[in-house]
Amino acid sequence: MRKLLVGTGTCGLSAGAGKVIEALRNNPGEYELSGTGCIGMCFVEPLLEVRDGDSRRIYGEVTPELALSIASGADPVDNLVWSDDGRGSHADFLEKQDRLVLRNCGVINPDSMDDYIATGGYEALRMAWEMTPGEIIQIMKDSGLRGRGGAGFPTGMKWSFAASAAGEDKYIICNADEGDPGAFMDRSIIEGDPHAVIEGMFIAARAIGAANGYIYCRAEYPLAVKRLENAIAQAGERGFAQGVHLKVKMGAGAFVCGEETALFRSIEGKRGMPTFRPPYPAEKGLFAKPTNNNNVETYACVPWIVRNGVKAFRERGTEKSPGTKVFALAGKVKRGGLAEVAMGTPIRHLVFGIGGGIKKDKAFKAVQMGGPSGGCIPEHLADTPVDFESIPATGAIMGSGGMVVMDETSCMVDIARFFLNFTCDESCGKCTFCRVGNRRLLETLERITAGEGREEDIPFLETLGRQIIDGSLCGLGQTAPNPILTTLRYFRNEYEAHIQEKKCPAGSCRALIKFTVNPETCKACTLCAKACPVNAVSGQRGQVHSIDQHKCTKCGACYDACPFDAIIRE
Amino acid sequence: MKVTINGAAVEAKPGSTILDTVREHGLDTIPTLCHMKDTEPFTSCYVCVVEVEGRRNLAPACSTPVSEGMVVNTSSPRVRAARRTALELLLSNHWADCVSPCLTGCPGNVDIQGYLALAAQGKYAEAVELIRERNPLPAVCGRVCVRACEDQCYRAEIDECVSINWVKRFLMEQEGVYDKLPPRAEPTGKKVAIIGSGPAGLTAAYFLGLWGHEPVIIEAMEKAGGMLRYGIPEYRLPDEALDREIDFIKKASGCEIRLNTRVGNTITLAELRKTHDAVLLSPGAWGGKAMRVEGETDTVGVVTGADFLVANALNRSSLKGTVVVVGGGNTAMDAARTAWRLGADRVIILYRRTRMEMPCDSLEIEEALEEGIELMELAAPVGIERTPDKVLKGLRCIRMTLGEPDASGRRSPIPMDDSEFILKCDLVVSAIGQEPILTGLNEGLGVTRWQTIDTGSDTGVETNLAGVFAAGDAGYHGPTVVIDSIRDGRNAAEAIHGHLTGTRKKTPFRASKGFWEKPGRDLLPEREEKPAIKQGAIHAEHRRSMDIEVALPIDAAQCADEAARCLSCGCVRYDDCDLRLLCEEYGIDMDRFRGKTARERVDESHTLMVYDANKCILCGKCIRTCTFILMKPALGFVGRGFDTRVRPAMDLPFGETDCTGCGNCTDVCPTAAVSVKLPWPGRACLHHEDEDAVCNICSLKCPVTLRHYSAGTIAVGRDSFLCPRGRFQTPGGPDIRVEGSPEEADVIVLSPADRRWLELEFTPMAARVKAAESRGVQVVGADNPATAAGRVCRLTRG
Repeated sequence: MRKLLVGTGTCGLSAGAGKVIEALRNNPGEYELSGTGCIGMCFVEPLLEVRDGDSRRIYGEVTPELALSIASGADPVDNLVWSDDGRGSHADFLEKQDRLVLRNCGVINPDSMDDYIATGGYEALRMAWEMTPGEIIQIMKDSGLRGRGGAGFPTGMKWSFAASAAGEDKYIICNADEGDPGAFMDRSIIEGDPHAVIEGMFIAARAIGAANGYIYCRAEYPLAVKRLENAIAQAGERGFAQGVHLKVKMGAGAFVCGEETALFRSIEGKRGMPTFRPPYPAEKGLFAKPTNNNNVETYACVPWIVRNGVKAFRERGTEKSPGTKVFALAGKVKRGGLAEVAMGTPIRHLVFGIGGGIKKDKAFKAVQMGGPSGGCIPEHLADTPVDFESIPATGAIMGSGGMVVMDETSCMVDIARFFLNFTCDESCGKCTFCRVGNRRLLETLERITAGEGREEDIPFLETLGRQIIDGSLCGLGQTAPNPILTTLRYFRNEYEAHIQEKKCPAGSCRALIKFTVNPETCKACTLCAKACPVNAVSGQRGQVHSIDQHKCTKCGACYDACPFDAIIRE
Repeated sequence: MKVTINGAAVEAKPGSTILDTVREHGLDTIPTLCHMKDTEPFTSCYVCVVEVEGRRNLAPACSTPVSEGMVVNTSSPRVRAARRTALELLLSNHWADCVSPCLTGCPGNVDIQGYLALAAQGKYAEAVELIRERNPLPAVCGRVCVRACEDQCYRAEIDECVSINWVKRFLMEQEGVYDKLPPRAEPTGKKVAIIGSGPAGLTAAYFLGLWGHEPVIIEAMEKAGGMLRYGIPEYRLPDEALDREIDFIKKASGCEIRLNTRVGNTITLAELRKTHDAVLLSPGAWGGKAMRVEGETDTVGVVTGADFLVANALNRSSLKGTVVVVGGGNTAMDAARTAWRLGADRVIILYRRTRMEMPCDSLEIEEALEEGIELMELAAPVGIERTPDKVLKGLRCIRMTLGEPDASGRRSPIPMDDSEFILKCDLVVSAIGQEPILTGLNEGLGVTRWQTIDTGSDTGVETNLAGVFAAGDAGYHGPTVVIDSIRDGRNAAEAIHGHLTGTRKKTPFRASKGFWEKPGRDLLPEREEKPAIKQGAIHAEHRRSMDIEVALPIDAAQCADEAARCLSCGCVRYDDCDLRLLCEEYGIDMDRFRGKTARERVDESHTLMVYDANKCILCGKCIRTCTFILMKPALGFVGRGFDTRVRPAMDLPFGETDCTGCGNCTDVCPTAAVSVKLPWPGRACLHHEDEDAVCNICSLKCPVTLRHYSAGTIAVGRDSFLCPRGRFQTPGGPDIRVEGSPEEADVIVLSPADRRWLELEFTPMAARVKAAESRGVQVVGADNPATAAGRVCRLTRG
């Protein structure tokens, strides 16, 4: 029987997958209908997959009407994005990946335990039951799995600390407080394959001897929370819990609660404020008990490693960073979405191979990795392999997998300002350097982008930035100045242009740019005048247009609207 | 466990922190603002950072446990720079006044808030003692000061500034204020010669004497006082008041005043330098500036303001006819009003700009006009009309108009064409400025191009000659007002003291709201509008005598009322604020991180405590202390990032939380974000003395520290928590004022209206009120309109 699958992850639903699935449900036919998680092609959502015997076809940008016609047998080639016979406009998007963590995402129905089991789910857990905790930990150590939350701490070692900590009551935590702007890997994993995370946690619980666990998930991920709760209940019914109690704890969305000590305080019902380590969580974590805390993606790797073996895992990635990594591609890239590649893959492969290059074929300038804690890697370093050794050497960090692509129109000073603004808002306010220092950095960047920069600003940013790194308690404060320091390292000339010439080379800082009409090339088509939201463009058809500088809000709508490049931005 | 700290190998207890270890071995004093003894580290201020070998980042000493072989440096340049930055960042969001703006505004830095508080309590002698800590001429200033302090007063945003000076004058006329001499240090045997007995010289002599030196004042005139005596006329500053001040200074400092001795005649500067350990030049500015019109120096009937005033102070003459005084400063006013008092028929003040631009005290103009003195604005002298034998006939003048503002911001006068006129007169007094006469002193002395002594800057006191200092009108800035000379005198005394003893005084660190922006009414405490007391004056028709003082003193009730108008802007923790003292130690630069500051109104809703969020540095000590005492703390953190605040629970006013009023948060606060509401009006005083004592209220005998301010005493916990009774009922704690008797009253009125303060009182009076209430007597708040009925007993707290 034919099977139709609609991508009903948050990305699909926000693109209209709800209406698609509803239309199909209301018009039943000769097929089985199911939801599935995100397959990663967020740029062509909603997605509809048709499985006919062994053949698979995925259609993108599907409307309810189109869905119905596909259901009744049509094969609209224009909408075909991928098929197993190699057709489809974006077939290479998936082919160029190595999907280990995302193996089930967009493939199985995440609400169906049977689907998961059918792919070999919970086999790893059964295997783990036959092992001693020491054996499980040894597998983790041998696999070389490193924490996917960003820091890359060896997972096996972390487990061994918690396992050997004194005390009966131990906790296992899954950090699903994904908060970097532009990052959605964890959400998609949970939405697409919740059981993989839970199975990983059960294995970890057995390894360290924990009877209780929490999945700390932000309340802004209601679908993820729902799927997790459903999966926990299903696993319990089928007897996989074996006395391990997992609970989903919803966080209010404070970025700092992704920092583990703050996360523990939040679960405890206290204000999410980080505390000093030591004591480390393995010794004194949640409720002052030995605790193991891993990221969603890390846990999702665990069952695969146990089932497929260390060797298979190490076949991917590099010596020191084995395995794969999921990235959320966003920004000025043609194909934004979720992509998993082996560690050690060059950045360029992600941007051009999988991402399809830069929107409107503009010049590629940089990628921002690691969100507000990370940094910008310039185009000339785009061949840097993504792994825990090479990325930090550039000044950025691996982070949890957010990768924001920037083109020639992205102002690097403004990017730094954007991320710093985020950290300033999200600082818990505890440490002096982070609370006040970052604010002073932000004020300085605001001045620079407003055209009021001063000669002494650059040394000021560097000195204070380093002192903030030096004098902050948690990862948030210790990394907050990174976006500034890396952009200063690679794009110092942009800062200097803002400060000395009062110019924004990328043409992005509103206070520093001006839009005018080039009378030579203007064809007086009125498109720019129609696009202008404040009626600043005057001139009728056949009359060269001009822009009233007093009215102009510098939104750039005219610039984008002009088909003849007759609007000059300077 | 072996660790190395600053090169010293020491034994450390496993599990202890770097801070514990450093303190245990007394290796250094690592500062911290957020750490509390015997509690888990909080790690927020990052002032305690140290360098640990092998670590990339600095480590907070309060939280970092020692480990075997650890190598620590607690005071490397990197550490000190980080601490300094931490303090500068904290201060960059510390919209607070360490001292009141009036103190900062006063050139003499007198603790005005302090003496107003004492004056409000009727502690006049103590108030005067406090003034004399900075200014030994309060009776003089109480009459003639230009009151820069009042210009800074925040109260002006609500109604009018506090009439500080009238309170000071009142104080100086109270009994006993000249009786008690301040303590004098052991004699040092160092001799200081002071040239001139004006305000600068007298002030320097006073302080040098108190500090144990032997000051000798060399005075050219027959009486001491300088321009105070010879420049300021008697109707403004009676000789009697001046004499009392000079006598007091002589007695207190033991200084000798050698009269009728002019340096350069009978004795030279070189000789003085040989026979004394230091010399202070404070000869004043006795020379009148020229009007630059022909004949002004050799015409009978043309004199300078200074000469005119001095001559009449020495030997009063009588005048007739018309007197024209040229100028718009205080000397011009003094000359004009003196001329009127000496019998002149008509007195005209000629000024080239308008009344608005006149540099003299505006009150002087008002009083002069009351006396019938005429003010001729926008006119300037251009020549002198005289008889062939050089006797004055009149002053040739020209009309002026105002042009563009000049460098000083005042609009410059421009002569109008064809507008000359002649003002017939019998005497012209030119009072357009004065300058020092340095004859006899200029043996190698560096002099500025304005003929003043070069001390490098307006507040500098050291000359180019070793051991020779300068102060007052002859100093760098030239002629100025009395309080500036007092400031100079004090600065010179401090510099000379340093020179003689080889010590150097630290500059106190003081944050001020004005660094960012002064508070508007919305950010000031809520007070009912109440205009300032006006000092009375003798009616103009009774003033025509040099011996009648024009200004009338205020009375005791007015003094108390006026002093109570003070908003007490200065910080109650000035003396022991951890943050301020560290800023002083690390020499921080307020300007480095200038940026946005949070600004909030001070929460005064609690009966016993004050919460000033502006002073909070988010160390969380109050919250942690409160959490220890109460199940639900009355204070907590809210908000994120830069906008994180400590707030009373549920964002209620502090007084409406579940706070039980134990006040232990005030003991742990490193600043004055939470502080005890001092139970006396004015809530004064920069300085206090601590005395260790034991609470006597119950059998537990908790240790307390009695903190004695000049206005009263409060109790502070020492090494342990204190209960509300121990803190607020220790002798000297808050008291209740009672009008009427609770036993005889039909209604008992509480002020403040919130009756919880009564519940917290354990005094017999509180018991009597509660007994009355149980008999059915109504107890209402002062805000209740029904209070007028029947016999009223009114209780006011604090």
